Amino acid sequence: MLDPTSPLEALDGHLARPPLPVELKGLVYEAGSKRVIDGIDLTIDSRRITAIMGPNGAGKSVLLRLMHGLIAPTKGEILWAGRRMDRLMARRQAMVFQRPVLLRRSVAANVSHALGLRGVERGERTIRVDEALKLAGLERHASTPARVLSGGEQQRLCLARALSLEPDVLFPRRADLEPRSSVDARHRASASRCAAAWHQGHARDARRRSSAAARA
Amino acid sequence: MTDFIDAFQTALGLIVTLNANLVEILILSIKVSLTAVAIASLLGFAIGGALAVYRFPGRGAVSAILSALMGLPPVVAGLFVYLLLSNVGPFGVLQLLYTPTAMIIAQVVLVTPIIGALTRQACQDLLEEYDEQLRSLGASSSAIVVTLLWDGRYRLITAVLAGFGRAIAEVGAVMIVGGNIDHVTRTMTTAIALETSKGNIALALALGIVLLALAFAVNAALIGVQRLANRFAYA
Repeated sequence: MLDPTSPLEALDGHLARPPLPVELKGLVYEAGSKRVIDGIDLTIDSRRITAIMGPNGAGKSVLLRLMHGLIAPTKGEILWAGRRMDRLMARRQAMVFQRPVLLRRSVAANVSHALGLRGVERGERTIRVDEALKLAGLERHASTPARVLSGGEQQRLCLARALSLEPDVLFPRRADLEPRSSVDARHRASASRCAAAWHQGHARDARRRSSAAARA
Repeated sequence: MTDFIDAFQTALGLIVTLNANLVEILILSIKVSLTAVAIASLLGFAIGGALAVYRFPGRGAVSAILSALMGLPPVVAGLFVYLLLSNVGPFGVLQLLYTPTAMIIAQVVLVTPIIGALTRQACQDLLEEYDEQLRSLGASSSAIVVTLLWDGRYRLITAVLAGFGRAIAEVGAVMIVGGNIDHVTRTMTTAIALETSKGNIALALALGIVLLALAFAVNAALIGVQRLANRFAYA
């Protein structure tokens, strides 16, 4: 629920809070008669690295989709910094899907469309699109139809699109985190640049948040 | 055989010399069909997009009815519009019967289900692919509809061309509500039917050739759109 203040004040107030920890309480997810997630209790904090491991079909992706709010749990709840997932929290997250999902538009338009959905102003959008494509090494392809890019380029575009949203919480693909992914060496460097830029931006935001909190 | 060749030569002569009667009929036909298709496109895109995205009770039944109406017989559509616009009908006061407006309404009734059903299918196919991505980006239902309509634009152009093909070639509905009045509501198809029954084969044949050329042009455009979409991987 939003506070009874203006939407902008509510958003400001929401952004001032850190998004983590995320708490999974008695989480169950059933697809038909199959129980995919069976009573998970877990707390993930920002101060440590948490790896979710398991064989194919173990439910790792389902867990991430549950955490991102794309599907609802059958039982249990997920709390982000003590609050249930809401629209404001969802706007602070971004997900890169296992299979690249690209609109039937140009490379730049794919990033711009995502920013538009998040309510980013047109002028700001142009700047962020340029930055994202530069980071992903796709600036030469800005006006190329996104779906004619190679597989690796499509994956980088998806990562760049997610990062352009400047999310506090990013759900990447496993391949985006692995040093030996299917992406070739040159492209891996771009992907690493993207991830590093996100970390830097994130650290900067965290510093800004703590100074604001100290001032208050 | 000689009669046929003579009629064919006269028909070509009418086309080459841009016979005034033929041009008048051609312009009215295209004007009525283009207007009807424009209105049907707006309705069809909205109905098809909404049916693909919004969930509500009876959605399946509405989709099934829309698909079934794709095969609506033109004479039935014409009869339905006739009853609405006749003096005893609810819209009789508007005095629209036997006017081009009545013909446009009849063609809108015929074409909207075609464009609506094809739009719904195109949007539904895209939604299967985009759904989680768009929801992850926080898109509202209306934003999803707009995104799907834009991304399905090549398939929608195909739907519009299919609708135009149906509108320009149908005879039953416009005959019933238009009345085939000379210089007022005479279209290519109604004129072909009338001139053939009168034995004026040359004019009927000339109109038939133009109608056939239009059908070929629409099909060529369909193939062109499909090739363009494939080239950009936008299909």
